Amino acid sequence: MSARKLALIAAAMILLALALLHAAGARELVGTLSGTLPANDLDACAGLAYVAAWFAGVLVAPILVLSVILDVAYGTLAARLRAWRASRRP
Amino acid sequence: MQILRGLGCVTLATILWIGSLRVWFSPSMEALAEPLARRQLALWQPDAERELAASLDQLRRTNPEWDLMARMFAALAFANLALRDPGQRATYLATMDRIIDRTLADVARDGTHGFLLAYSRDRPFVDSAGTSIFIEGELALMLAARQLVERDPARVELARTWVQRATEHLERGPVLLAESYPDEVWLFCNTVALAAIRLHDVGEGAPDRHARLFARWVATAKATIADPRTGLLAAKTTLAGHVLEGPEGSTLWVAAVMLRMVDDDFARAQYAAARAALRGSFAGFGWAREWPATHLGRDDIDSGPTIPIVGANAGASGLALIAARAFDDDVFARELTRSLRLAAFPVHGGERYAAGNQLADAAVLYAAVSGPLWERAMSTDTREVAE
Repeated sequence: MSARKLALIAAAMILLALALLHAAGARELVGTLSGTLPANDLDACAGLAYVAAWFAGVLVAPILVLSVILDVAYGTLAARLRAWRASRRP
Repeated sequence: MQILRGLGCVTLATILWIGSLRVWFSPSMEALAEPLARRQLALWQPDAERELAASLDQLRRTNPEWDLMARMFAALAFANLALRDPGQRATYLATMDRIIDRTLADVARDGTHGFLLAYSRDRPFVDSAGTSIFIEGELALMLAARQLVERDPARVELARTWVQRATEHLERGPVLLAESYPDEVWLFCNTVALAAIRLHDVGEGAPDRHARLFARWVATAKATIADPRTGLLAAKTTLAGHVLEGPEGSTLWVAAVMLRMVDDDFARAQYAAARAALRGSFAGFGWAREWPATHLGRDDIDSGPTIPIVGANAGASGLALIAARAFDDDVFARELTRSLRLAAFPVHGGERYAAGNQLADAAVLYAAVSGPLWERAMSTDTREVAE
C-alpha cells in the first residue's frame, strides 16, 4: 500500500474515532483537564480518549491530508514539467 | 528521494496547518460572553434550582472553595453586565442579590468552614476571631460590587458589616495579612478583600477612606512577601508573613487585578512581572504556567493538572485571561481566547466549557465582560457614585 493511501486511511480512522466519541457524548466528560473529579472511572477514560482523538483530529489528521495533497500536487507538477521539457527537446 | 519528498510534504503541511490554525479558533469577546452569560444567568434563576445544586455539588466534591469562587466571579460578571446593559440591569442585580443571599444563608448555616477544605478544622485559627478572609473578602466584594452598581438601601448595613469585618481582619494581622486557613495566608483572598474595601469606599462616596491602609499594605507586601529577584508576590504565607509558597499563576493573575483597586502602578508592575514569568505562547495560542521557572512547585488541588514540557495550566490560563483583559493586554487575551476555544472544549454553542466546571465558566464570563465595574471604581475617585 502506498504511503499516500496509508496517510489517508490514518486520517480517516482518526476522524472516525473522533466522530464516534463525539456522538457518544464524550466531549462532555473532559473536566479532568481542570482537575474536576469525574463521576466515575469510565467517564474519566472516555474524556481522556476524547481529548486524544480531538487533538489528533485537529492537529494530525489535517496535516496528513494536506501532506497527501501537497505530494499529489508536487507529483503532478513534476510530471507536467518533465513532459514540457521533453516536448521542447529537438 | 521518495522519503525526502514525503518528509518535505509533511513539513510544509505542518507549517501551513499550524500557522493557519489560529484562524479557526478566533472568536470575539462578545461571541465568547453571550452564550456564557445566558447560561450563568439561567442557572441562578429560581426555576433552575436542581441544575444549580448539581453544578455546585460537582464543584464542592473537588473543592468547596470553588463553590464560593464561582459565585464571586458570577456576581462580578453580572455587575459588569448590569453596567454594560442598563436595560437588563434589574435582572442582573436581582441575580446578584440571589447569589449573595444564598451565600449569606450558607455561611450562617455552615459557618466559616463551609466553603473551606476539610483541613481547615485540623487546628484553630491563630487570630482570635477564628474567621477566614476567604469568606469575608469574597462576600464583601460581592456586596460592594452590588452596591456600586446600584445602591440598595436594604443592603447598606450588610455591606458595611462585611467590609468592616474584612478590614478589621487585615488590620489585626501582624503584617496586614489575614488568614484564609489556620496560619495560612493566601494572597488571592487578601487582595480580594482589599478590592472589596476600595469598591465599598467608592460606593459610599469616600474613596480615600482607607488610602493609608492601602499604602501600608503595599509597602509591607513589598518588604515581606515579594520575591527579591522578580518582585512577584508570594501566593501563601503564615500569618506572620513567612513565605510558604512562592508566586503561583492561580493566585497572581487575580491578585494583580484586585490590586488595581489599591495601587494601580503596583498592580501593573505585578502583571508585567507575572506576564514575563508565566506566559507561554505558540502559533497564536497562549497559556499560563502555574509556576515561574525559578519557583517550580507541584500540582495541587488549587492548580489542577499541568501539561508537561510547556507547563500550561488550565486554571492559571483561565485566570490569566481575567488579568489580560483587566490590563488591556489584547495580544495575550487573544492568544488565551484561542486556546480556550481549542483546548477547553466549548459545548452547547459555548454555554459551557467541558474541560472546566461552573467556576471556570463564571471566571471566563467575568473576563469577557469585565471593565465597567473597575472603571467606575477608578474613574470616580471622589464624587460621581455617591451622588
